[in-house]
Amino acid sequence: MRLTLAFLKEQQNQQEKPMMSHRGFVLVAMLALVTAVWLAVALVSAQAPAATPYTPPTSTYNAPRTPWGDPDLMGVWDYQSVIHMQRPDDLVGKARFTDAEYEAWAKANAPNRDTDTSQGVGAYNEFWNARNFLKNYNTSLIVDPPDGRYPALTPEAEKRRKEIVAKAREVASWEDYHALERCIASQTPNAPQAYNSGTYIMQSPGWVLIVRERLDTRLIPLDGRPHIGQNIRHWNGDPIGHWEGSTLVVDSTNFTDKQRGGGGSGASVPLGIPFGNFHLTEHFVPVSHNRIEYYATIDDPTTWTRPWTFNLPWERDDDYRIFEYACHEGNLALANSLRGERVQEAEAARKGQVRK
Amino acid sequence: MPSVVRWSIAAIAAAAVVAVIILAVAWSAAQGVPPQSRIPRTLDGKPDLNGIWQAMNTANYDLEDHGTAPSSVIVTGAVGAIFPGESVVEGGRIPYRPEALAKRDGNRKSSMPGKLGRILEADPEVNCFLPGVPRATYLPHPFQIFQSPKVIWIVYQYSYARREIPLDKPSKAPIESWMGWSNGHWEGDTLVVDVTAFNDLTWFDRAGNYHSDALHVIERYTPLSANHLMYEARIEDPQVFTRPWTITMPLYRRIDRNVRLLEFKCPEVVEELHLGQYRKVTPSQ
Repeated sequence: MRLTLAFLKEQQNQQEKPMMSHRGFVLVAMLALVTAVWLAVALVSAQAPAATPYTPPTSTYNAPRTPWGDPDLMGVWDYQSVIHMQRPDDLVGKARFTDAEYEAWAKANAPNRDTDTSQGVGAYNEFWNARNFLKNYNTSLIVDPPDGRYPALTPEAEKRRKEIVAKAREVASWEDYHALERCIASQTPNAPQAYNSGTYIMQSPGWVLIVRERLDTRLIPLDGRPHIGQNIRHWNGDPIGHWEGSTLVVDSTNFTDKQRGGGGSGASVPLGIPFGNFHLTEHFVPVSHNRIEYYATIDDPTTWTRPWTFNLPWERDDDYRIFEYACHEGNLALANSLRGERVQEAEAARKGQVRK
Repeated sequence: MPSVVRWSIAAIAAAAVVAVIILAVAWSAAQGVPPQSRIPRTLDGKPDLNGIWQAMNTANYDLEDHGTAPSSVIVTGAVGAIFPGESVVEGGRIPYRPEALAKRDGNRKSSMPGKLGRILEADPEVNCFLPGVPRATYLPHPFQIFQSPKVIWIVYQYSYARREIPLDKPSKAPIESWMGWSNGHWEGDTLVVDVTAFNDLTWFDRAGNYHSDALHVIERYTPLSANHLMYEARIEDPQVFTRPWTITMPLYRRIDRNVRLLEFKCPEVVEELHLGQYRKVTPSQ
């Protein structure tokens, strides 16, 4: 503000003079430029105040300790959820269910496990999925922004998303498939999926290991080391962690831009959003022996106009034994799918058509 | 005898006695102290195996004796050559049944097809398939042991293969798998892991040494020092071998600054090999 007043005063002084010297002209021009930049910055920051990332609640539960003194979260956890990432349109303005409302909504929205197959069985017959939905009174997994929806994409990210989605329909190569269909990785952070979401938390002095039955393994050092160098990129990011009371806090960067085919099973992020600039902060907040409130906050100003957070309850499941997933070893579907596309293109070309 | 000479002889004799004592103490310190007192231990008194380990040998090329040889993919030159190494098999040779030895030799011929496609006759490592046990241990990648009183997990950098090894409640495999079904227990300072329920799709090395689904592996991890383990795997498979046999090798702790396993998600690495014929654009990577 002082700068602006000084500039105006300088301008008045200059106007009183009959003629402006060359040096004075340069000075005024420079001051004008500085002021313009300052005003622009002030204007932009007034329009879009930098949103502070969501702060998850601290744990009031005092977890038992490992022999070496860390909070002990070891065991198998699962996180089946009937609540969606985004709040449904008919629940706008309503952030929480009552118990009765939750029960009614869960009943109405549970997948059809009827043995009647006349309506089709979907990609996988839901009858065979061992569902154990965890009670969650939030009407969306996204808890920030408060409307329970993904924040707006930046204009560049929206343009890029549309390009990636359009290209994915071409099925020109394996790159147009979700990393899960390529048996490489699911998404970190992970949202609910129909099956194989059992997750083992293993601990040793200075480390936490998170083994997701389906594909992903995360090795989290707790010794305060820095992230790996910028030129090494991981499908599930590079995690480093620390304890805050009984809460495990994990900071992940170094995601690869190749992780972008979202929207599928277990995906927390929609299709067409490359992960390369993600800064992921996770809070594993134990609230009882059997329940962890998991919070994932994604901050990427090149993609979203503000950080956002989802909250997914995890429940201990001592009867769940993690089994080998061996996805790639039997993955003939990817080859058959790509080959099918090429065969159909060739047939269309033979008939003089262009396959769309 | 002059007193100076007598005094000198006494001094030399005394010095010699002191020297002998010092040497004896040093020798007994080197020889007599059991190494077990120098290995790190967890708070429950077991050897502490936590950490990142790696074999430093050429067993993944061939468990048996093997000299230097060119790669079957000639264009890879010295980079793809077979590095020489002596056998890690006790007694030197794997005791194959005659017909099984012929199959091993066939495997060896087809191990590196040198052409595109998902060729199941190739070494499973070419196709980025899970490596099985004990091969996971001596792949040219580190692995990390996570140890608690009730359970041990091992994660291998290669394709993030992983094993859960319960120590308190032995259980039976529900079905066969690539990495097998592990149950562990302590015998003194040795971690013993019994592994069963393998499929018949993994090999022991790039040289075609193989097994059937009757494979039974007993691994022994014995600490030698804070930074060395002795690894032993006893291999039993009456369908393929005339008797059980054992491999032995040291494992070395990786002590590099901030060492950690990095992603080697090899399904991505073999996409061009397996799927290249079905794409119509050049992938961006």
